[in-house]
Amino acid sequence: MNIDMGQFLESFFEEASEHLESMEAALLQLESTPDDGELLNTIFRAAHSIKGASSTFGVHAVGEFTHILESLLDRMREGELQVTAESTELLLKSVDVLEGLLSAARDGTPEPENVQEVAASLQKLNGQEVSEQPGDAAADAESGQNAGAGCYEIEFKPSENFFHFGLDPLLLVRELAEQGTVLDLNVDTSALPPLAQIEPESSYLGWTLTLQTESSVEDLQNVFMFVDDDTVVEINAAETPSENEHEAEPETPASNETDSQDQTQSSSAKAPKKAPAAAGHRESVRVNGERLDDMINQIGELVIGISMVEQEWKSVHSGTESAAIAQLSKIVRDLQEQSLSLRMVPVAATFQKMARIVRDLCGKLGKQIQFEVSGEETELDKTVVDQIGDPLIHMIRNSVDHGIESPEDRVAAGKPATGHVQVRAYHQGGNIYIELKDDGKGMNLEAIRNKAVERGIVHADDKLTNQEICDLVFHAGLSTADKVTDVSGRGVGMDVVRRNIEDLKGSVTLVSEPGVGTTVTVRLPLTLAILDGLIVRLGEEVYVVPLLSVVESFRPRAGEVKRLANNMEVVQVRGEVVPIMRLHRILNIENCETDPSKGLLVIVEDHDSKFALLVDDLIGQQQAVIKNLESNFRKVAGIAGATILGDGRVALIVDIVGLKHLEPAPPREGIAVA
Amino acid sequence: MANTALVVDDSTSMRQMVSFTLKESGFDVIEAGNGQEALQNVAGKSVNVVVTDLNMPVMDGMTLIRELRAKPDFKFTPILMLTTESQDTKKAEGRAAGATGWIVKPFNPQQLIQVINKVVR
Repeated sequence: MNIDMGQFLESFFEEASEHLESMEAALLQLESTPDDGELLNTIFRAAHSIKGASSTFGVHAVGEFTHILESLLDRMREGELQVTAESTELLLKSVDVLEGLLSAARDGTPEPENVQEVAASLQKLNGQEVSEQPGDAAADAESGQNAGAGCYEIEFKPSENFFHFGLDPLLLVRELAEQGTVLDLNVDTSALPPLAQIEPESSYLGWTLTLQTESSVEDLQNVFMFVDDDTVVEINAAETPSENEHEAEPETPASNETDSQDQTQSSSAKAPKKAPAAAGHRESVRVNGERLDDMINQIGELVIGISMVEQEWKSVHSGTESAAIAQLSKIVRDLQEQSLSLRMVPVAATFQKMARIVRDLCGKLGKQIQFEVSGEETELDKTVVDQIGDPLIHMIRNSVDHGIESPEDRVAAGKPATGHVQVRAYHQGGNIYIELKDDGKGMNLEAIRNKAVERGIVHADDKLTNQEICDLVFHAGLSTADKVTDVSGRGVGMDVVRRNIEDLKGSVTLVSEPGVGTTVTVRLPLTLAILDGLIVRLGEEVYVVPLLSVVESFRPRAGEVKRLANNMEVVQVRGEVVPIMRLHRILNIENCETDPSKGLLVIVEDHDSKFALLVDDLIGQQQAVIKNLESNFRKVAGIAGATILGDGRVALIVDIVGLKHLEPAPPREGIAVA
Repeated sequence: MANTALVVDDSTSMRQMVSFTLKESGFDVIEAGNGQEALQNVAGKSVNVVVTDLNMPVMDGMTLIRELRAKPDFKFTPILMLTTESQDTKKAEGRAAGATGWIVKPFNPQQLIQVINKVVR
């Protein structure tokens, strides 16, 4: 049988990282409750599972390391070794090492440098000198093949209880026969009682075989590896019989061979490759992300298809509705919603990483922080979860490094010595919010302002509100740290954080109050695959404006649109001055309405700033399945993607954030926007 | 009729590997992620061989072996334990619980089939 073990590797890597996550979570908990035996069991089980699977799938570096880890954990679990702060620290380091080793095996990244060092510390803690090499067992099983041909007399007398172990003596006799040529076979029936006294569940027979074989005595003993202590097995060398005595070549092995071939053939015909077993109710099924995306995409096409059918029906049947189509359309939309929910994963893993970072930084910086997490079960699109990790970690580093003061400073400021950092995730109006809140010293607004002036971002005599100063931290090149430490301020600033979040169609805001603390709020869309769009007309063309950004739309009266000194057009909406962007001019579309009082202004908002888009008309509202423009064409500034409308036409989706960078600066550009 | 195997392991990859190997050898396979699930999944079914991991959440392998052996249908069914401990203590403990034999991890499909062939054909 030739089975490609590679096909199970992906599952192995996934479950190994899940085990590592649960190990890490349990270790972090163990710090506060070192006496919790169940936590140690969880940690042990995780290490144990990783060890077993990794050596089976040939990821030996991981197998060897977990072997060392496991023996230590076993002793801790048995209470032979105390859980100390030092050991927990070391175990957490081990989790990091394992993570590194796994990604080395999976992605070919270099192995972590401290593997040997951490392994040695683990062994030292365990009072061990040398590590055993796991994998010996497999080597042992394969050894002992090289003995020459010999002849053996084998006596095999199963115990009376033999069947109760699930053993079958005939299988063992047959296995022996397969090892060579049976020259003689006698059945010992001496122990057989009279028929009336026979216990059908007991074993009474014995066998004596003379076997000519190339197998070693060890191999023959291996046949009996599972027999119980009361079973008699004796293997003795016998005289090799003369040539003519074994003319009748064994039929058993030959027939067995065809037997097993048949089996293999019949089974390969019916066993579907890689299909999971039909039996059993399992809580989850692993699906390749690409296949999932393909399906979601197809369902998206289905949604478009059904709305095309709907429109065609209406055009043929003069605007009447079809109940059947309406029903079908509802089913398809529900299906789409369900398919999108398949991509949703909880943010818990990301939050756990943050907990770890807070813990590690506290140790490093000598700060005391209580880290609280809530809403970790909140679900987000997997892509969003994957990409939001780094920005969140950057911000949590900032909080711990620059936000929370040292215990002495806190006490001096009249605060409790232990700082609080809170992370919470919640749903609100079609968005997910992740909020990071600390009760640290807040931002040094004066310093930010001075630096911004120094760098020419704002004028010295600009009047800025506190909020406007806070927003400056998102400006490229403005690092807020008084000094660059190795914890944060590694050149990745809040501007990068903001850009990452905006790439995910989200936004970030920061509120800081000196002495009280800082709160950063990240808004993220539930999914990246679809968006509610407002369809607008520009000349002969249609565009989609993301509905989330739309505040309102209206037709200004003649004269309401004013021109500022810098030639910028603005309109006043309830006392607020909003700059106007002529979309047709930016997108270079001809035959469009140029008079705002004859077209429409769509006011859009991008977290902190508003502007108005001049369009010809509004056509309607539609859920748009976003098609990536980059993978099909190339990145186009101001365009977020494309979609297919209900009538089958292709429409481009306007990128509100991107548009701002195309348009000449609106007022206060330098303050509010990067 | 094909033999049916019950494969119990909380590790998906290990379970997949064992199941796949058994299927390739002509077995029908019932899978379970722990002892309790195994007991549920085999209810009313006839099983010719059981391969179970020992360390599992909810219900571990030892308990499963004891529970199975107590059932009339499983009185003589071969039960193999997957074990990383090559120490005799686990083997003896399993034996006392009613296990037929063991397979020591790490193992490859060939080794698995070799051991399976000892207890069921």
